[in-house]
Amino acid sequence: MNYTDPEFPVFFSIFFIIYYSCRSAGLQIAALVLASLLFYSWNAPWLVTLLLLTWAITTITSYAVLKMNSDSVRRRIVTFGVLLNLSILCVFKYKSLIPMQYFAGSPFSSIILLPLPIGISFYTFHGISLLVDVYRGKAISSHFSAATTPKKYAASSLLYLVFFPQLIAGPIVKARYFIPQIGLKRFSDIPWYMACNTLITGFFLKMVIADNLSAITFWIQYPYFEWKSPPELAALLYGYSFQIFADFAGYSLIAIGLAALLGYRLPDNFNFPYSARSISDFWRRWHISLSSWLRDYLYIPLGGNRHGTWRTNFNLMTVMVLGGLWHGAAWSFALWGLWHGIGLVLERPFLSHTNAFAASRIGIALRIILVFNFVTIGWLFFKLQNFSEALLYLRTMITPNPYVTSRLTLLLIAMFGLPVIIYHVIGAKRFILSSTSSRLIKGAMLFLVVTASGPAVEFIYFQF
Amino acid sequence: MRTIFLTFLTLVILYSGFIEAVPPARDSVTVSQEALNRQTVERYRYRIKAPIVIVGSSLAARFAAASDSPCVYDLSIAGGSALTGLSVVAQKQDKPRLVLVEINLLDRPIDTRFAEAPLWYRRYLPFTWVENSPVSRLLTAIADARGSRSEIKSNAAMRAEPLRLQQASYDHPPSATAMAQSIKALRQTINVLRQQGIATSLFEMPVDASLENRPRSRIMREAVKAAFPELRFIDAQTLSAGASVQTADGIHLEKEEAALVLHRLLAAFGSVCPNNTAPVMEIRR
Repeated sequence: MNYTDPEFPVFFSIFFIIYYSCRSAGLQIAALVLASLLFYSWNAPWLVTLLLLTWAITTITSYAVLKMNSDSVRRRIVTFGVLLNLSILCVFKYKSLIPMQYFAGSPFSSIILLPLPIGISFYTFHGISLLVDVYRGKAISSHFSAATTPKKYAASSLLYLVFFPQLIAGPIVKARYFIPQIGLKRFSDIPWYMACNTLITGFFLKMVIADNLSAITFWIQYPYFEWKSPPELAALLYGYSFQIFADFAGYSLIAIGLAALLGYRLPDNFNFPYSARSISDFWRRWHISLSSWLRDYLYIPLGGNRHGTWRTNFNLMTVMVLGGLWHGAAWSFALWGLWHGIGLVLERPFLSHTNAFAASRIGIALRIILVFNFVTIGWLFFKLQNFSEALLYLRTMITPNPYVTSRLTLLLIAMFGLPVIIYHVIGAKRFILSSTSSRLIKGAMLFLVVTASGPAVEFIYFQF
Repeated sequence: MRTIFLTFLTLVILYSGFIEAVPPARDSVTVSQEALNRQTVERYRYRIKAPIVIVGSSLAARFAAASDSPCVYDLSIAGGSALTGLSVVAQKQDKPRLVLVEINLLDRPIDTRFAEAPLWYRRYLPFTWVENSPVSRLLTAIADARGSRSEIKSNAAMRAEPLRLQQASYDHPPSATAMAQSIKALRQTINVLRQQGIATSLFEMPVDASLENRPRSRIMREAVKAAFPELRFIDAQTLSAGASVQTADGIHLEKEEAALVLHRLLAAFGSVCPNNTAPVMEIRR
């Protein structure tokens, strides 16, 4: 099910009433788990099997880690659990890279033909986070103890993996952040203003901005882009940059708002990323839950920046390329990660030597524009997952051709890009709108959600 | 919270008053092809009644901008086939007298996004219709202020590559399975319409002369004629009067050409709308 499907409000309203009618934590958790499984299996019930398999592996291994005293045994179990989780992810996500002829006729060949289970990248990372946090003792400090029963542990881990607001496309919530929140939730504790505010902004970004832009950036596909003029191709690329932000930030805000209505707090996933002044600043602001996950569970274990410049650069490149490949089995994703890795490595020497100009208003504005353009070019490898098509797009964009630029396209990209820019300017400058102005704007945004939504398009990150 | 919802309600009431006072333009500008398709279907579902309805793909959708005759409504869906429009006609209470079915891209399946009945309450909320979207109204006002619609004219250089791709595509016959399914679906819908007293005729949109007799066009034409011998069929040759038509990319007619072809098509069914067979738009060649 999708948050923008017409049946979702009905589903959520019914569940909301049932959820707050439950008088005990156990009943509430059971209702939440069942609703999450229903939400997940709405269009493809068989997908639940794999989700439950991941949960079983994660729960058994992490519970064993919790109960064991020997550190070497715990380390071996946690490694085994992480590898099992990664194996499931690799089999389903990177199966297109496996040469089929070696598995013809084997049971494995039928697995290879299965479609990519929705949300697998997210719930696998949740599973790894639970294993590592239990191993490090982070998740157990406030919620689990040595006396925790298997039943309670299994229920908590199941809720953590299947909690529907974040199940399909994040934010990737670390176990140590989510599990201590599990408990009885009361209707009177709902932060109504925060939840509605977040939901309206999320639905506005998704349905008004991203969905309308998706109909325009549709033309960024082969061979259609060959029949567009260079200025239009550049405008379409900016349009996609606005679209992917609005789509994913919108999704994350809806997830945060829905979780708040159920009494759970999810971490922010975006912090005005297009106002970043450097590539590293961008990655502290974009898909924060993934970048912090990669930092905690990959970059730091690799040694982080503690072993000199060359090793730091190698670690950065490794993390970015793997982060790119996390999105899918296409070399263009690796290239997209490499593009950002190169950016991070090249900018490092300059970050520690900022001069007066770089710190001036004009200098900061130029840095923001430079970073935005760098990121926008990178999105092309995200949109066109065939590398040669991406290169052809870039070549067409800089080669004069006889095609006429559509003014309507330019106008629409400006029209739907402007709210994204205003959103960033307000965020970056920390403009304080009066509460009345803020509420009037939210009322207008809600009006536009109802009257000016684009075609219902699946969230871009659902494919990951 | 209260301020947010009061602002929302106030805007809805004010905007409803505005759209009541200022009706949408017939040729309103939409954000995308998808929005245009939605608008085409919504207008037919909610407020337009015409004795002749044309259903087809983006080829016949060129008629929409070429005529404002109240006698005919163009329910063609860009990117889809005639089956989508036919299914919308079959669902409507107020039936037309005649449905004209374009056969060129009949092998495409029904597009359920447009064919499925929308949520019942949308009929009563005009501010949620595409033609009343604030974005569409704003784009239309801008286009009106500039005195033009974005109708891109092609030239030989721009047409060459798309035409080459169309030629390559038209060298392949349509999928036999898809054809069989579409013809079956078409027969079922035509039978339903016939029981409701609605006549159906078939026509073939003219395309570039180099495409007219390639396998795709020829097989489609012959299959449809063989499947529906009892229905009147007007072929592309008749509609283009034997002359080569002007297209933007080999298959989509330019505006003036579409007006001329529509004029010929409606003239063949003059008895349905005897006083209104000619498109209002001036025809220039």
